[in-house]
Amino acid sequence: MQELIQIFCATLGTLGFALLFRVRREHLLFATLGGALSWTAYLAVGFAGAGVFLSSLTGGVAVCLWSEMMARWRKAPANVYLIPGIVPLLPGSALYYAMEAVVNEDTEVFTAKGIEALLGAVGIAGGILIASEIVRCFLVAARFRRRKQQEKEAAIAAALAEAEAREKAEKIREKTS
Amino acid sequence: MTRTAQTDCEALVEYTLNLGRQMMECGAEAWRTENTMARIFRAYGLEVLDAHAMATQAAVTVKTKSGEHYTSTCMVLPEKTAMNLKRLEVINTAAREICRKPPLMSDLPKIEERPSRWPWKELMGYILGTGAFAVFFGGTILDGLLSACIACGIYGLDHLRVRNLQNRTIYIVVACFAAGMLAQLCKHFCPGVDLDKIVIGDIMLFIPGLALVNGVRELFYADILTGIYRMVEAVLGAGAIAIGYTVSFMIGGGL
Repeated sequence: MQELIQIFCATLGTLGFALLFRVRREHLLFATLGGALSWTAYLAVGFAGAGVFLSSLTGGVAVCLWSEMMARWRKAPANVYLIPGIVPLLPGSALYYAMEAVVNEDTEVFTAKGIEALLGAVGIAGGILIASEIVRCFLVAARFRRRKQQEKEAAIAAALAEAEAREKAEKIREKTS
Repeated sequence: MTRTAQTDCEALVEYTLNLGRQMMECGAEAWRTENTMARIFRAYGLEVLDAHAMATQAAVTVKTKSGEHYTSTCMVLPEKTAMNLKRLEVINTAAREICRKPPLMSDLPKIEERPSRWPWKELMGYILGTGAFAVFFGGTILDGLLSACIACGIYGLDHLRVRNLQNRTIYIVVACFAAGMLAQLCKHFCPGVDLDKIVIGDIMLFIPGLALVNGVRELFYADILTGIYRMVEAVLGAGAIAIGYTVSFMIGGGL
């Protein structure tokens, strides 16, 4: 139940931040769904026993793949879906407790929470990087395949044109002979 | 090279640099800004010798077919920098259109310098963002509501900051101090609420998590200076939050 509440709140919070970041109305729904997806992925990997880093990495991968897909479908920059989508993953509470530990001069809690915040940030950034590289590889492969296909079609067209020209030349030769 | 061509070239350099500066101000990555500026110049048949963008500055050098060089730089003001995905989309679309079919200098699309604010939508964003995250981090619905009420006050302060182009770090200290005092006032009148959760909800507006993630991303993309700048910005932001809340808690006795 707690998880469902978290996912619901993450979705609402993402919508709030999407409004704050001035996402246009036509992209609001899908930008908000990105936040729900990223937190669901984070929780799912957390259930399997993963730590903050791996969970944030998975959340980052999920939201980045989502934003790349949406960007192509909705014809908008990927950042429109990516930036609001990572908001629930941001290490907000870890940073807060780290700051509180500084005020209380509690070095132990500061170290633990500071490392947690940094691991979360590196995890999200790493996830985004991995997903964008995967997408880039797919795009390069698709472009390569398209170019090969075009080359093949061009070669066939050239061969056909050549055969036609040869046929015409033969006909002319027959007529003249 | 004719006088008109020279003026046109200067105007294009200025226009593109301005576009790059605006992209950085809207929160675009440095490599994306550099890429956009270079693509526009290439669309007009100019050789790009340098198109460089970082957190506080953008610079370009291009060479015409007849061998003339044009260089220009501009500053990206930190006070004007804020995530604005609508403006980023507009700039992106304009840049794509320019590259697809380069228009005449006089027909280049105008990108508004200071976009109008969205008062109601922004206020809704403040309310939803803080309220939902107060509950998200374990607070009750009442904690969320109180957090959202305090966010309305923070929204008013942010309006003042944008109007006066105030230093962001000082603004965070003042806003966190005010939010801390208001949260303690709520705790005073409703003893059952969780002060921590109300504060965490409001802190989500200032927490430099996004700056930290963007800093690490820039580092991964080998934009070391921009990455370090964003990370230092995140540390400064965290420090400003800590100062604001600590002073308020010391005065209010919340600690």
